[in-house]
Amino acid sequence: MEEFDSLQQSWNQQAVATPPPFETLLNSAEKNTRALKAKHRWTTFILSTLVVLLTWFFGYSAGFSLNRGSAGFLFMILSILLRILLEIVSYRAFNKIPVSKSFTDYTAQVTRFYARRKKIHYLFTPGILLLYITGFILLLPAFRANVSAGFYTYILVSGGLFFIVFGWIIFRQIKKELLLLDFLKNIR
Amino acid sequence: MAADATQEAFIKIWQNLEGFRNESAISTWIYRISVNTCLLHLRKPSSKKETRLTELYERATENYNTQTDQQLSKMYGCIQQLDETGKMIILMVLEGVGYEEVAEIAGITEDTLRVRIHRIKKTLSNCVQHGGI
Repeated sequence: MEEFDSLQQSWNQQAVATPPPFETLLNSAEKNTRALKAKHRWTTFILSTLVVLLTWFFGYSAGFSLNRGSAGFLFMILSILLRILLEIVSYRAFNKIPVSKSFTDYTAQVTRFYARRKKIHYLFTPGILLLYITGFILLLPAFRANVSAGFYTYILVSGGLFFIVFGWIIFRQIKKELLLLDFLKNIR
Repeated sequence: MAADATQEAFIKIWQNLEGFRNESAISTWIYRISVNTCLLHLRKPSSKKETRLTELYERATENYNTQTDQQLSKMYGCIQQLDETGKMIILMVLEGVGYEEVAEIAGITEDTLRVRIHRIKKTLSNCVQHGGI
């Protein structure tokens, strides 16, 4: 192992990196934690607002009669609620993985977590999207009957664009998680 | 990336401090959190845009002779080619962390670790001498 001893000597000759001052690290950590919490709050706020609006519309339309339109609202609300619930459960499950475990144990637990996420992506995500799209389609006749032709076209176009953008975001997230799962599975 | 990982590890150490039960040395416990935090950081998209190990040495070795520089350059390149566990183990060994502590951090027996370290050292030495793993 003479060769390695020489490598060790070279390694030891490197300049030691100066760690940042404690205050800088603390301030930066606090800033990042605040930003992360704000991001979570915003996501919850946006999704909750969407659910409240849909619920209000549902109540409004169901007040007259339980028809295709109100069923559409119900499907859309359910799909969003299901998605929020799954994300909350996943977020909590990930945070419960003890980070102070040994590298082998931690890797095994994180791998199991992402394997479960894969099942969610393959089983629940298409179901949720299908439920949302079904709800939207069921709503269309109600929109056509109650709004102007221009606004109806706007609803169709914006709804279509929403699905494309939303689908792309979900696809990217799933791809990222599947790559991470492959990476974790290859760790020995 | 290193600064972000340091920050995140720092936050996690702070948040989990109450969970430390003196079952291992505090340094082992901190190393575990740091290693596990870095594991997931390696896969973040932003990490791919960041400086790679081979470039880092240039900043750290400005005042050394050419031979050492070349050896370090090759060494960083070779470490980069190791698998994740190999990288983690050899970096701790190079930093002088004891085998017993490395075994506890990695979650493998000391005997297994010794075998792995022997292999990694051999691979690394060959790689630096002849290039490529």
